Parts: sequence; structure tokens; C-alpha cells
Amino acid sequence: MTATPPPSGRVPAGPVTGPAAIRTVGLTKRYGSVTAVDGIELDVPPGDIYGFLGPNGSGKTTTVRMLLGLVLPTAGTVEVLGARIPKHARSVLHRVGALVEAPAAYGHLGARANLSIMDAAGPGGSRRTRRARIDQALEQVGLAGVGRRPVKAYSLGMRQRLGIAAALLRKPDLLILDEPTNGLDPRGIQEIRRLLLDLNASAGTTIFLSSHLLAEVEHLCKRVGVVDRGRLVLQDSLAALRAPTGSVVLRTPDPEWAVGVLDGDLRERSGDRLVVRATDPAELNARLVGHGIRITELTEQRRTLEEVVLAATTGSSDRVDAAVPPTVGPRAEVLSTDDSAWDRPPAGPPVPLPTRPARDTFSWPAGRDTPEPGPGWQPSRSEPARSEPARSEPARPEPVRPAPDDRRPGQSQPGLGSQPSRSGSAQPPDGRSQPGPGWQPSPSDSAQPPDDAEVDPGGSAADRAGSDQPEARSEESA
Amino acid sequence: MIGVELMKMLRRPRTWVVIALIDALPTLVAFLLALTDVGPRPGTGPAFLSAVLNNGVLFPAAALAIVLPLFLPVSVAIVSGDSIAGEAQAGTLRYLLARPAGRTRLLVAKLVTVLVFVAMAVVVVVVTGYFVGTSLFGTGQLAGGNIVSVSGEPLSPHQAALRTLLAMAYVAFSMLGVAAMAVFLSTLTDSPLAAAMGALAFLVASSLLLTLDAADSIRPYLPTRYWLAFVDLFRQPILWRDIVRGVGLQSLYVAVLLGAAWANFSTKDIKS
Repeated sequence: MTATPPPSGRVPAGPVTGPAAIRTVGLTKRYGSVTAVDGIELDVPPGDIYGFLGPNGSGKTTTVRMLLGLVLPTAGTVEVLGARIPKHARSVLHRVGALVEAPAAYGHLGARANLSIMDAAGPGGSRRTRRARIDQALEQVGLAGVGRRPVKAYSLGMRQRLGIAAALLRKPDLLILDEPTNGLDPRGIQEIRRLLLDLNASAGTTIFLSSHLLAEVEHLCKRVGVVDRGRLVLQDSLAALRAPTGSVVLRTPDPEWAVGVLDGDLRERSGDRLVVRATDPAELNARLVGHGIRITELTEQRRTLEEVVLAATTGSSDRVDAAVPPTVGPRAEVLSTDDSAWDRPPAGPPVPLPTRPARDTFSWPAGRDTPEPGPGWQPSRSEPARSEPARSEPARPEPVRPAPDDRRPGQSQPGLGSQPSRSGSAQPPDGRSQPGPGWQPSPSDSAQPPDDAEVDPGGSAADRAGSDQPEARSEESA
Repeated sequence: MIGVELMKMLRRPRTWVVIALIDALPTLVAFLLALTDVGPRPGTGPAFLSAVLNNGVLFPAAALAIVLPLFLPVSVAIVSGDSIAGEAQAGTLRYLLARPAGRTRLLVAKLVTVLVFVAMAVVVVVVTGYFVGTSLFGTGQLAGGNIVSVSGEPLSPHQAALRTLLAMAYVAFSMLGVAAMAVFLSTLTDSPLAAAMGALAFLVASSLLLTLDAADSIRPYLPTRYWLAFVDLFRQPILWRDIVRGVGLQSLYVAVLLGAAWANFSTKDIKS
């Protein structure tokens, strides 16, 4: 934070106001007859961390490239930090740090030479502060000790860190990052995540994160936009997307009794797992325990981001299925037979609600009335079962979360509202819906974000060229 | 931006390897000539070589004539073909443009870099040619220091030096057509090899058509038609006709091809 600010002035730290960091209106890109991006209306307020999600080939990268003036839109407008792109790109893009797809560098040069070349190639990078800024950026991404080793000898993770360092070099007001944690190990992912959160909190840097890693977006972002087949199918705050569904998922060793007690409130049952309509989990718990029903697990049902996204998108464009004979049926059904977990809406016209809030877009089917959470109603994220007798009962076999994948093709109803009622947020990871092809499975269940350090405590982090890397150190001292 | 691009070229080992190789061929020819003392018969072989045995001062011009038909165009095509396509292939083009370097600025910087490369190559060839030539063949003391021009009249050392400088400029200018072609192709493709090879194919086609009588009517418009006209600079007096035509023709090719390169690059979707 010591470098001189770019001439056009920086947004001060703290609460930020002013023009939107990114705003697109009717942004469209057609390649011949193929529409890669179709009327996308992005709205990223300053200071936000925005997750831009979508299956492979859905138009994410094309959109990012249009934001940076690399691809010229067929129709629509792009505004970045209040300036039109590509017309006024020169006056504003130097305040934007970008990582587009993979990082790139001149292989025969070292990290510092590469950063220096990139910094000198455009406006806004003062020569006087260059060396200090390069050192600081390398420090931030954990490459302070790389020395003069040419980039062609770097590991994938080191290249990724160098790419992020290049994006951070001029203390940008806006970071546009496309898959920033690609190639990093769990520890590296966590480091970058912390770095981004820190930049957002301390410098008010707006972050636009394009990714197909749902867990990454879920951990970082405040708002998400989901793009599918070139259209923005939803754009809302993460909190709103993950609002409670008005149901409670519970497990009980006495399902028959529970069904009797719950009667009309029961929505779904599979084995000992019940989905019950209830607005207040505590009240439900008290009611059941009052009837002497033991409860192993009781959780307010929330949709995971994965469910939200899978419901909003249709499929991976990198999946290419054989042509379907007309007698077999619609394409979506055929797909669901060989991959039952990959629920998708029936084939048909794309979801016709580009930017409406998710709750409108993905409301429950009419048959299942969704109680709106009342004002002031504070749902707890995950409510542990409080019924002590159930837990301490020694005679009964411990109900070890059987978690069978109880979704069979016949059971699954392809439809927009069908997924969330099946898996609660506290469901064991192996029971949650499997992502379809083209989606990176999120490594964690959303209700229990794992600590990455625990996932990989030894954290090889071989690409971190800090003091823990003797190789880099010896080279620097040489 | 221009400084950055120049630094990038100068720091690339490939630049210096290519220049060394260009320089190696005339040096090898000089040593072979000096060892065997067998020059090509007048009118055959590369220009000036038969005269060089008597006076090494002409060897820079002879060296230019040796590298002009193939070595110089190949190296120019490689460097120019790499200009945009090489950045695209390495993935650095998108970062340069998002920096933002500016598309026109980047293209201009690349052109200047190519120009500097051509100038460096020509200067190195001439300077080496001068030292190798004068040390191996002497400075023609027998003829009183004068050099026999192509048309038989004597040239003073001063005149010879001036004309060698003019020849360097003309040869460098002749290379700009190739450079423009390679830069244009470089904006079309993401493969530097394809761009360089395309520019060479353009030259080979031109050289082939020059030898074909049936192509007589288009001969004056072929890009390599006036390349060897720099020999006319060593006539006494200088025969300007072909030189002027050569400069005009090259200018036309350069203007059209660079215009096409700019038009293509400034509106191109960068998908590399």
C-alpha cells in the first residue's frame, strides 16, 4: 500500500460508492450462427466480491474477455469502473488486474523481469515505484524468494501465483480473475482466498471471480451470477440464494412414530430420513421429543449453491451425447438415465428469466407451498439434535448416517424445484447430489466448510517459493 | 511500449543466434575464396564476388548480395511472424492488451522492433564483411585504392563507402515487404511458424514467377523483382531507375500489408 496511486485516483478503502465496478447492458457475442453470450446484464457494485458461475462453455470466458476489451461485443455495452470498454479502455484498464484463463509469461525470463515488462507495457505503472511494487506483489502471492529462475522452470502453481502477482501489481480497484486457484494445492487455494478477502476488506478492491469451482465461490463471494448457454440465468446475493426452504430434514430411529406425529407436514420420506415442512426447527424438535421420538439429526433445509446452480443450468457444453432417436424421448430424460444424479430441467427453451432474483426463478412447484420466512425470523444454519435420550440410548445401534444415494431415476422428478427437498445441508457429503460432468465437485459440503489446512495439514505447497524452499533461497543467494 | 518491445527482442537469445547465422555464411564464403583464390567467373555467382578478390572493400556489398536472396528474408520472416502470433501462442498477448498496451501501439512497437532487427542484421553483415574482406583480400593498393565499379569506371574509397551505406539502406528497405507480409499473417494466425512460412511462400512464389517467361506481364509487380537493384548503386554513374522503382514497389506492398494487418488486428477478437 506504499505505491503511488494511479493518476485517475483510487477508490478509498472502506465503504465504497460511485459507479458500478462492472455493468453490462444487453451484452451479446455471436460467432457466426453461434451465440456465445446472449444479452448478459451484469451488475457488480464497487467493493463487492462477485462470483460468476457457469458450466464449461457457457460463455464465462467470452464475457470476461469482453470486459477487458479483448473480444469485441456484437451488441450491448460494457462499462468497467464507469468507463466504456473498449472505447475508453486505455483510461481505465490499468486500474483493473486480470487473470484470464491460464497465467502467461515469457518463459526465458524470471518472475521480476516478466512483471517489469508487463508493468512497462501500459499506462499507470510508475517506473519509480516499479521495483517496490513488484517485490510487494511477489510477497503477497508467496513468491518472494523465486530469484532469477526462468519461468519455464516453474510449476503450475508457481505460474498461477505469478499470474495473480501480475494482476495485483498496480493495486487495482477491480480484480477480474478467471479460475484464480487453478493448479494450486489446498493450502495455496486457502492462501489466495485469504489474500483476496484481505484485499477486499482493506483496500475495498472489487473482485469479479469467474469460476466453475462452486466451493471457491461459496467461500468467497457475496453475490453470484450464474450463466448458462450464454444467458445470465440468475444474479443474486449468496445469502438470498441459500435462503431456507421452509423445510427441516431430520433423521430418527423411530421413523414410523414420527410419521404418525407429523402427519400432514411430512413432505418426503426415505428410510429414516424425513423432510418435514416446518418454519421453526426448534419447535418441531420440541414437538417430536415431546412425543418421545428420538432424533439423531435435525437440520433446517437450505439449498447448497451447488443445488442452486445445477437447477439453474442445463448441462455442460463439453458433454457431447450421441443423437437421440425420436422414440426414446426427450433429451433430458435420456441423459438422466445414465446419470441419475445429474438432474436437469426438461429440455426446452432456456429459462426465460435472465436476471430475476432466484427465488422467483426457482420457486417451489405449485403443489408444495413454500412458507416464506417471517420477518425477524432468524434461522440457524445447522441445528444439532438436542434430544439427549436419543443420543445416549445404548441399547440401540448407533444410527451411523447410512447415506444411501436414495435417488433413483424413477424417483427423480426432473424439474426446477425437485432437488432441494432431497438433500439437506447437513447431509453427509457422499449423499449429496453429484455434480454432472463438466462440474468440478465442490470439495466440501456447504454447511460445513472444511478448513483447507485440515484437508492437507502437511501442505506440500511446493509452488510456494518462500523461505521454506531451499532451492529458491540458494539461487537467490548465489 | 517501443522500448519494452526492443528490450524483449534484444534479451531473446534467438535474435543473436539468427544474426550470427546470417553473418556466418558470407564469412565462410570469404574464407573459401581467400583459401582457394578461385572466384566465380564474371557474370556468374553472387554479385561482386569476382571483383572482391582484387579489393576487399567491395566485400560488404558482396556479403549483402550473398544473404539477400534467402538468409535475410528467412530471418526477417521468423522475427516478424513471431511478432503478434508469438505473443498469442505464449498467451501473453491477452495480458498485454488487457494491461492495456493498446492494439495500434503494440503493432507499431512490433513493427519498429522488426525494423531495428533488419537494420541490426544488415549492419552486422556489412561491418563483418568489411573487416573480413579487407583483412583477407586487402584494400586494392595495386589499383591506387580505387575500386572498379560494376560498369568498369573507378570508384574512390569515399564513393564506395557512401554507396555501401546506400546499399545497406536499400537492402533493409527491401526486407520491409517480407516483414509486412509476415506481420500481417502474424495477426491472422496464432502460430508464429505459420506466419513465417506463409511470408516465405510469398517470396518463393515471387522468385519462381520471376523466372517464368509466361509471367512476364506481372513481373514488374513482384515483390522480389527489384531486390538486386542495389547492385546498380555500384555503377558509375548510379543507375537510379530500378532503385526508384524498387523503393516505390516495396512502399506499396508495405502500405497495403500493414494497413491490412492494422485493420485486422485492431478489430480482432483475441481468443488466444
